[in-house]
Amino acid sequence: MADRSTILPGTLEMLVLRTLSLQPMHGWGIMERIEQVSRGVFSLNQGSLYPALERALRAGWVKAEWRVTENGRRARYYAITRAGLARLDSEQREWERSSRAINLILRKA
Amino acid sequence: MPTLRGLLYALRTLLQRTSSDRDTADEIAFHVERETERLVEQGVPGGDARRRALARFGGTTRWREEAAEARPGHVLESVWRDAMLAARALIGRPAFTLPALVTLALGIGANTAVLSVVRATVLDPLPFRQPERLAAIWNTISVAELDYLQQNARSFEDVAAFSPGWGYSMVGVGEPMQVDVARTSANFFRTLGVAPVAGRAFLDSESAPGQSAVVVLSHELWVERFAADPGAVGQVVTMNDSPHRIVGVAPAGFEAFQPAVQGWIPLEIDPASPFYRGAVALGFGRLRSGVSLAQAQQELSAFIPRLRILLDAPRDYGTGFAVKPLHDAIVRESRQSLLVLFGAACFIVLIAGANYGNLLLLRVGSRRREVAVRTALGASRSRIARQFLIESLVLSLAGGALGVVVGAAGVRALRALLPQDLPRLGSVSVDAGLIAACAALAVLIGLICGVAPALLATRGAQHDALREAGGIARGGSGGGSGARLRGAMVVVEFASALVLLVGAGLMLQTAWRMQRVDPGFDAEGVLTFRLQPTSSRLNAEPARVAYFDQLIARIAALPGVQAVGSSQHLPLAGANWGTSLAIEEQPAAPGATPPRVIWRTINGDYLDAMGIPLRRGRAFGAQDAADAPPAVIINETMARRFWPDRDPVGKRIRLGAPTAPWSTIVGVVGDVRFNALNTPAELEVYRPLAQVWQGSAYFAVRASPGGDPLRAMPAIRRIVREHDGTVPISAVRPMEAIVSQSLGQTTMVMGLLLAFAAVGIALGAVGIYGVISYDVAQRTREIGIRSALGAASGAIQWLVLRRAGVLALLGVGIGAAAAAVAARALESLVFGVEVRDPATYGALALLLLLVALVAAFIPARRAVRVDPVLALRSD
Repeated sequence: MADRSTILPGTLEMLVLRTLSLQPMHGWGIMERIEQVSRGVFSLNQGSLYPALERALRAGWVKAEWRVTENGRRARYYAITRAGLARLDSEQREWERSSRAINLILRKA
Repeated sequence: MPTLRGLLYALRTLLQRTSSDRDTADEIAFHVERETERLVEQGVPGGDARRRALARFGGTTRWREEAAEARPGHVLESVWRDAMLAARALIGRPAFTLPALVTLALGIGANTAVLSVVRATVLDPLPFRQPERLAAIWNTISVAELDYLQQNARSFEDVAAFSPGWGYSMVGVGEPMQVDVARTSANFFRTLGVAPVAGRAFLDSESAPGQSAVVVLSHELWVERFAADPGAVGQVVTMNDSPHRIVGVAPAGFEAFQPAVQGWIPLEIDPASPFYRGAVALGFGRLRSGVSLAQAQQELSAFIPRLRILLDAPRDYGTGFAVKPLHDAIVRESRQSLLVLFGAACFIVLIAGANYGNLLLLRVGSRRREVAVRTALGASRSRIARQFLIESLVLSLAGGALGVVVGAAGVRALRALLPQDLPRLGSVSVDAGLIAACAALAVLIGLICGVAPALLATRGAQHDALREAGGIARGGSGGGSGARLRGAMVVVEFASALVLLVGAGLMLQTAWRMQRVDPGFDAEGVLTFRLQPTSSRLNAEPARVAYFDQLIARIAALPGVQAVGSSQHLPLAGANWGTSLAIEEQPAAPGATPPRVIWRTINGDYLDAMGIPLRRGRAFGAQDAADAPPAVIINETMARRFWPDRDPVGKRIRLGAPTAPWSTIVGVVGDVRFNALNTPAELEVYRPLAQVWQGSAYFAVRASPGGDPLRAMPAIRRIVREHDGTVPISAVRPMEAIVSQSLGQTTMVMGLLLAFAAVGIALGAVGIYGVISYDVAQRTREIGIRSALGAASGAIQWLVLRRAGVLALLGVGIGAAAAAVAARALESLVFGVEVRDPATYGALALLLLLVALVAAFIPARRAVRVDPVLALRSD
């Protein structure tokens, strides 16, 4: 799997929030979504997803509830909260700012 | 981000801990299932898909823990889980847990018991109002000095005095009884800041001549004799044949200067009294607020010249007088013994801690595989370290809890064992403070002893232990630093054990030597008791002398009684009277301080009854009557001092004031160790009762050889009652009991040090046995190879014993050095032996080495029996 990279440290949280901002989703769904959207570039370290979700729950950025999936199984769904949206917004802006800066350096330096 | 929401969430998850754990498990299950489905959809066969799904997920333990760690309240929760886990694991391993618990309980218990005694008797402030302002002024103060200071000293709010040991007979409430009374200045209770629970304290006017017939009862006497009746206050009782009004009752447990005082009566301040200038009491005072001890000392020093003239005192009057905190003056005597015991108890804790640490370290060794497996399964290093630490804490806290039980038993034992005249012994108790001390000590030991194993367990755990677990041979003695640490612990144990052993050895020799000192009398077969005739019929002196003479004659006639006599004071019983001496033919230089002699009156065959040998001249007899020329008997020390090469019999001396008559020396008797067995005799004079009247007397009754004087006691009681029903008999004791009581402090320190040393040796032996056993077990393979290669069994034993020997030698060396320092604390307690006695140190060091070798010999034998084939196959 040489074509896969692990997610940059500190960005997992942002990716999770971004994914949840589209619709409530369970853990596996979040993982699949991230892998899909990144066209398989990011392989999510699955073991680190749940602690990240737990941290987000504690911070109040997401909330969780048990629901029945379309296949009739119980799964825990996570949904983004208002605080989570705000957090996503600030993180996204911060990311854009620093990635712009990095791009500039990479191009001009 | 400690938001309110976060806090609420934390609270909720804590409350729903089990359900959130189950949620997590469900969540993983769902995730893995879904992942498996996806893989199957992608064409992976069913069984393979599930395995790959699990693999992609990673170690489930690890993420579960990480998920849990992200959860708030997690630390508390997992500490609790670890603690429960540890408790279960410990219960399942009694072979490890029991010795650890016993070690800790003994160490912590011994320490807290001794600490509670030291706290109550030495450290606690005196239980009086503003105790820091109370100062001791003078060990012995006369009424004259008290009078002067009360009138002149400005540094003190009050100057008070306490005079112990006044025996009073009490008649009028039940059986006549002997009451232990202290006479005090009228301001005594006010100075201490203690208020009676019933009635009142003394009025200042009650120290005036003729006004002092009032008594404050102790709470205990009030309960015992008056059934705690408040109406007792105001009643009149007959004490020493004169009516005394009960004016108050002291609070329960009130104790100042002397335990078990039953009543307090004011000291009369009467300049006309012949006792005005007699030093009778302990002087103390309450400093005015803001006045320092030094200022008070300065003021009182300025009084000395005037007082010297006033009292017509010798030139060296007032030297060595000092204003000191009262607390220091009261705890002074017991302080040293108690601090020694406390030091010993600290060494016990050190030994117990080292032993405990050793047990933990050994356990780390035996758990290497468990750690390796857990690490491989994804448990983090800190997680494992924490678990080891928690295990140590759980065990040490359990040990501490047991220590409370041991400590409580120890406090009871100490209260029974310690000399009963120890000030404030009654206030020693088991309380919250003791329990807190146990807990604190337990946590401290648990932390200190748990850290090293926790670090060792996790350092390089994966590689080493996995290799070991996989059966890859490892050379050496298994975990270099672990072995070193274990060795160090054994060294600490042996060093501490030697310190205790040396202390016990020194005290043992002291007790032995003190018991073998010739006291100058023969206590065996002698019974003593005290009589205090006070009825008016016996008021006149001739009647009293006749009363004593008749009693002595009748008791002497009893079957089984060999000799009977009486004396004003008994040897080793704590009381003594002194006076100044003049010798007719050796006049002192003008202004010189006259020699001081100890004197007492005796009657009947006291010398024979006590077995005091007559060296020259004669004993007292009928010829020394009241109207005969005054006669005295002196002791050998006095004879040697003043008549080194002449016969003192027939020479004349004068005791006390220049107006006193000259007395003729009629005999010389052997020296008696009167104050203490370890103190040589002073200059002593005996006087006949008929010529120097004393109110009360101690009787000494010697049984016929082989007889038991106690058997004569009922008959003696009958005779005393027949003569006068109002005279109380008190302090019935065999003379041997008085002797052993005088050894109380020595015996107590010795006994406890011996007990501590025994525990120390036992723990040290167990420690070295454990370490060597473990070494042998670890080196089974090496030993097997050696013996396969033809090493002689002697060489193998030597290999094992050498390590034990090195550790023990190191411990003993360090211990000897530490003991040489610590023994200085014993200097004032030992007798007949140097605190650095090389023979004692050498012998005990040898003993300890021997114990080490014996303890190491058992595993050494095991090493020799190692079968090379089995050893090479093992693992």
